[in-house]
Amino acid sequence: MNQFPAEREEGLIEALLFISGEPVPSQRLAELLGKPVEEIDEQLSQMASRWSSDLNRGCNLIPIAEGWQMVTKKEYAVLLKEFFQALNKPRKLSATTLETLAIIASRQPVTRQDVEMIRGVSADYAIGQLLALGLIEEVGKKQGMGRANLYGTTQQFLIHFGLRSLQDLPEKLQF
Amino acid sequence: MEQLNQEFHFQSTPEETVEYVRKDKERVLKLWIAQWLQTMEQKWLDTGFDSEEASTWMVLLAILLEWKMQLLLPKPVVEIEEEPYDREAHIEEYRLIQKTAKKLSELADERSFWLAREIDDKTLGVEPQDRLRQTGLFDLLQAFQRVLATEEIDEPDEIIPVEEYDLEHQMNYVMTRVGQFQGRILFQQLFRPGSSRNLLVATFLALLELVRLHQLQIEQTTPYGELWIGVMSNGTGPSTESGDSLEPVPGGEGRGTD
Repeated sequence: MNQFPAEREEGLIEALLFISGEPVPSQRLAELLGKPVEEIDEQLSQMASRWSSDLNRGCNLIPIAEGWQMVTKKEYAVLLKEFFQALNKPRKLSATTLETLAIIASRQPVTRQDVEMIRGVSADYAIGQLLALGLIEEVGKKQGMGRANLYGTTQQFLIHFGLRSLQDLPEKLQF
Repeated sequence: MEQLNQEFHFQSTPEETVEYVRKDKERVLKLWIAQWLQTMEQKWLDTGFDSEEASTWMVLLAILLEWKMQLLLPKPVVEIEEEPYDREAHIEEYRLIQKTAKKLSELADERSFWLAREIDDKTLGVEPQDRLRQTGLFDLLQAFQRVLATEEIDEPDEIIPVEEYDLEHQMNYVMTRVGQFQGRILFQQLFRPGSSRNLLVATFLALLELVRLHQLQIEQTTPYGELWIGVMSNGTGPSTESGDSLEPVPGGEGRGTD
């Protein structure tokens, strides 16, 4: 695939991202085009910048979940949601669930007891919700008595909040 | 309580409460937490319950209560080797968690304006049975509530006539509608805009009946995602008829709603 003409690479990337729908890891694009990941990221950053400033384009490229995704521009969201009712997803996380998620994201891997220690109340329901939504997952067992489950965030977490990686978390807790 | 009211009162925000206690740890002893809670309950009775506000206050009060308890209760005679409880750090950490949670909420709101193509199983090479999950009655009822809330319902202004819908006819309608979408249809697409509430209910009952008879199945690609109605692999399949049979017929015989 690295024989693909250089002048048509951007077209290929665009087609790939369009078909995929979900974020495509930079690593996979790099393998496909036979280039280093850094070079691919740089190329996509330039494409993203051009698309963003081109008013005749309906889509943008965004860096997300250690990859790239093709999404519609923000200004069209309201109209698109009106046109395609299926795009209306009213579900919003409650404050309790968000706080639980913030603890897990900032201090992962953590046990349910760790979360309860910080919030002072039971975290059973919130953790169940987050597991069902695929925003967190079991990432191991804590050593010691009871071998409690350890939880961490998922790729879906990055996608849901539009984060490129965990380093982009808004605020790291320093305790 | 008078002294407390002079310095501080419950109508402050959680942030102000944290600041008040941070200035002097002993101040937590002045907080009448139970009475505070009682007053807030009264406030919510008067102005309406706000679950978000209540949740924030409850967690804060639980931390303050634990703190106060440790200050008031006698110290254990035998010293236990454990890390000392740092109250200030606990409150500060919870405050940061709240800030992080708020920022996450803002990010999610912003993200909701970026729309992407929905993932297609065929494109991804995923077999439907590996991906789709069976849904429960609760999911269906929630989805139907959304349909009732968003559909433009054709309600008469003055006289309310008795409407009866033939369940069998509605079942045919549902199967035909699914057939029009090649055997897989979004839940909302099943219901025609402008239908009466009774017709929507009759259609929903027909759907439940078809699921019970194992002719249709309800699927979901992700938890809390869109509901899809599909034909069971061993079902009789959707009708390919179109036209007249799609129109609901009031006054038919058989089980109906009114």
